[in-house]
Amino acid sequence: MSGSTRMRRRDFLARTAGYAAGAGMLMPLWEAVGSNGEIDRAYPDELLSIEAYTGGKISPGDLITADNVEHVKDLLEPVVYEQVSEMGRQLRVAPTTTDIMRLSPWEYMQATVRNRGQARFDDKGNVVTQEGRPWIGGHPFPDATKAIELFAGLTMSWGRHDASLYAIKQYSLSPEGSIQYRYDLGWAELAPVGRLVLEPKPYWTGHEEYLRYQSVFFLSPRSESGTSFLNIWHYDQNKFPDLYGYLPHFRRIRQFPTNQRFEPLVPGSTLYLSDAWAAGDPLHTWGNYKIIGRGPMLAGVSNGWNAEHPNWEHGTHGGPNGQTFWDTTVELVPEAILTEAEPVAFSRAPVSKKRVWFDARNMMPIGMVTYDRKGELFRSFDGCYSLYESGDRAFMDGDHPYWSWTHVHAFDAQTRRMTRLEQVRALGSGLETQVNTPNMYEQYLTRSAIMRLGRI
Amino acid sequence: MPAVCVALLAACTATPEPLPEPELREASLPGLKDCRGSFEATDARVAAAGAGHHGYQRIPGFPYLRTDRTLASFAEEAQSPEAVGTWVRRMRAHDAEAREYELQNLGLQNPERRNLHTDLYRCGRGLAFIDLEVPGNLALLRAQAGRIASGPPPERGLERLGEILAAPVRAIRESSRRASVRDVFATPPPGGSADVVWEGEATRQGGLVPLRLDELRRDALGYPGMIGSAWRALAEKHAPQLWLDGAAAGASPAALYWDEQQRLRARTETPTVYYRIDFRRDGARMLPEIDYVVFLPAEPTEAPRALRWTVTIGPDVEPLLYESPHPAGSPRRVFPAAAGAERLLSGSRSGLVLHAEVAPGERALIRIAGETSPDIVDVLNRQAANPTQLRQYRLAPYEQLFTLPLPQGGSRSAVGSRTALPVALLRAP
Repeated sequence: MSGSTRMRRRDFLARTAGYAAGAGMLMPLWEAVGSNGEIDRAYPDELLSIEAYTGGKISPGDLITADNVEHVKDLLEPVVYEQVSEMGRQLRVAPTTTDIMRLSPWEYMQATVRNRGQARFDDKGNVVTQEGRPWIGGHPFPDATKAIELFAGLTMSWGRHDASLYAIKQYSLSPEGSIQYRYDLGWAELAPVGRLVLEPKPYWTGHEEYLRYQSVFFLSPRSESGTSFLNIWHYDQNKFPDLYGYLPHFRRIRQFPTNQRFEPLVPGSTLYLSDAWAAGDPLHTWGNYKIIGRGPMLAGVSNGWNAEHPNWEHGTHGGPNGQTFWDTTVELVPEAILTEAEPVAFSRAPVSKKRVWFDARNMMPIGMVTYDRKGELFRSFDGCYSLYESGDRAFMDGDHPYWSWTHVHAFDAQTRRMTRLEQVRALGSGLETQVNTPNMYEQYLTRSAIMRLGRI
Repeated sequence: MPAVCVALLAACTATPEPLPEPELREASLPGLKDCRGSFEATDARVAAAGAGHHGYQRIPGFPYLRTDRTLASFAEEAQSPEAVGTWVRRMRAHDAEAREYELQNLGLQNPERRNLHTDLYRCGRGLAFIDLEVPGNLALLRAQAGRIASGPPPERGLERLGEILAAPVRAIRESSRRASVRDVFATPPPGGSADVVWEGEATRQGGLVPLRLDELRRDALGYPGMIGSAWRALAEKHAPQLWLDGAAAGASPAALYWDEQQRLRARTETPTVYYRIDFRRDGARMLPEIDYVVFLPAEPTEAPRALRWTVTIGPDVEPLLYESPHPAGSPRRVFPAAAGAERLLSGSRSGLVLHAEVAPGERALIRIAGETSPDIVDVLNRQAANPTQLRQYRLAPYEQLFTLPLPQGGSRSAVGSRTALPVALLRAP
């Protein structure tokens, strides 16, 4: 960790400790964090060390394979376990991250502490400040005890930056393990409220009625190049976003039915809009949120940035052709919160429920499975986050190393089709990953922008 | 501006460029070239195997859409882009649902079954998009759907019989409004066996049932939306109590299965009533309807006997109307349960209007008796039965019957032309 980072970390700790001493209301985890910025005082050793948990059978640096996965079966969501035991997936084990500041963007974590206790649900079920204003940034419920609080925090800020543009490579693989579709795409997110870095903050004047502008645009292959979608999210979480699409074959923008959210955007993909960040729909278009369990879990929350590759690209392995899975590093997450929710839909909707595991340390999703109408396991999602810092290399977000997701698996457990995504430095078209750049709205997040992108 | 813009597009550019012919666009859209052939091949396989699903009607020319008559009735009303989009999406969802059953009954296993289903779903999405961009296609779809909405049910089953009887029934309706069905059918009195009343399993998540329908999210057509557990809780809340009396005494509501000779049979080890959620229109308002289907065991050589009991849910989430079309040939019996039910009784779904002796807030108890074929003979409250025993039945989704396992492996629908159950047990699609 750099010296400047340590300095700011002390600032953060002082603020956190103040809350712990002053309010005396922090959960044990947050009391531990407040004392030294580490989580290690909150959990026993066997939840902080995979070696201790497995009685020495698995240690950091080891590879989890079909040969030893039984030792950690209880730490994996069921589909990941099956992938390891039957499909040749492997997981590299890293030590548990105890420094809380490596698990989120710096400003987001600061705001979470600063604004703790200021959030409430209004009579429509929207998160507001005690004064009834839109939320002001950070996680609104850092000591969440209800599933809806976890989902509210996630829905309100997916990537935890004010503005993000992810350059993404996506691969869709057949059950036989061959790549059928390759896509280069851009994904942009911008927060008009709860802003922490971009001016004006916390609200973008004139846009307070919206929660998010989000677009996705495909740059290759040629057959899909220019296909673009724009979601405009209302702050009111009872309303579906306005969804616009530009399809080059039709040379025009079309508005799609707002509830068309269980559909893949492009051929071959097993990703739906509804899947984004495990909370791709407005909060109250799902219901019956509940916590159904807590416990340790293996998940990718660190070491996912491949600094060795100039474009941050990841290696693959496993499956019939050795390319079904990203090379993935996981660590023992001491406390994962397993939640469940159901979509508000007509009586025979294609998805009946989802289960999402949250990392209790930062309240980010670390795994998701969905179920079909019959209640049978349908699709599985897992990914990896990371601080973009490795040795003396870093990709900076202002004064701090960038924190973000690095790669994702979206797996259809019934067809055994896989869609893999990774965040890269840049695409062949020149599109580069960006964070908190001020002109993102005009460039990527308006109807005229997606038309312009479609004509590239 | 082309008509299709008005119908489907919210943001047409000022001067759209001429669109290529559909065939060219289809060829240019990745993955759609083989779609029509895939639908034809799959439908031919399904037809040859007799595995077609009867719950929805196909729409000629649009192999990726299916509808029921309620949804088809929006053919002309759905005009805004949002409404058209929702209408088409629902018809695609019906097709996807029907194909799930059909592909399973073809004997396809996963991953092949899910892959084919996924491909067809993707194809349907793409074809719907390009087909309905073509001026005239949307008009054709409206016309086809309109014919389904106004036409008779596809199967000349007992629904049809109910319609034929509707005119004379309407004539006696007023005079019999306050009568009980016992008077009309002169059913014999109870057989004297120990009275057993069956009731649905206890509501597990009753708190999920909304207080009023107007609290619910509605789509652009007015269909209400709830989470799956809430639909289930609603079905549990209004599940009828069953008083099996007379010839039915001693029986219990039964679950269906296929025997070794592929004959449909009912077993009572796990007393079961099947339910299915549907909707009916009340002008611009969509009201949920819950069909409960009760099967009773029959003689070894006979198919199980069945009764359908339908509860229309009013705005206060209480029963507005009870109905029961009997598959053995009686006309439909309707039992208004609350004020406002009368206006639902016009049109082809009218029937013999009878009095239900159920106080507001009480769960209906239906008395099932009859000398040879069990029939509903009364709709009462619990006090009327004064049971000596109370037993519980399990509620199971009616959809389970569309892919009922065969003893030698595979599955087959229990509802259809080649099976013992008349399609009329299903709501007329």
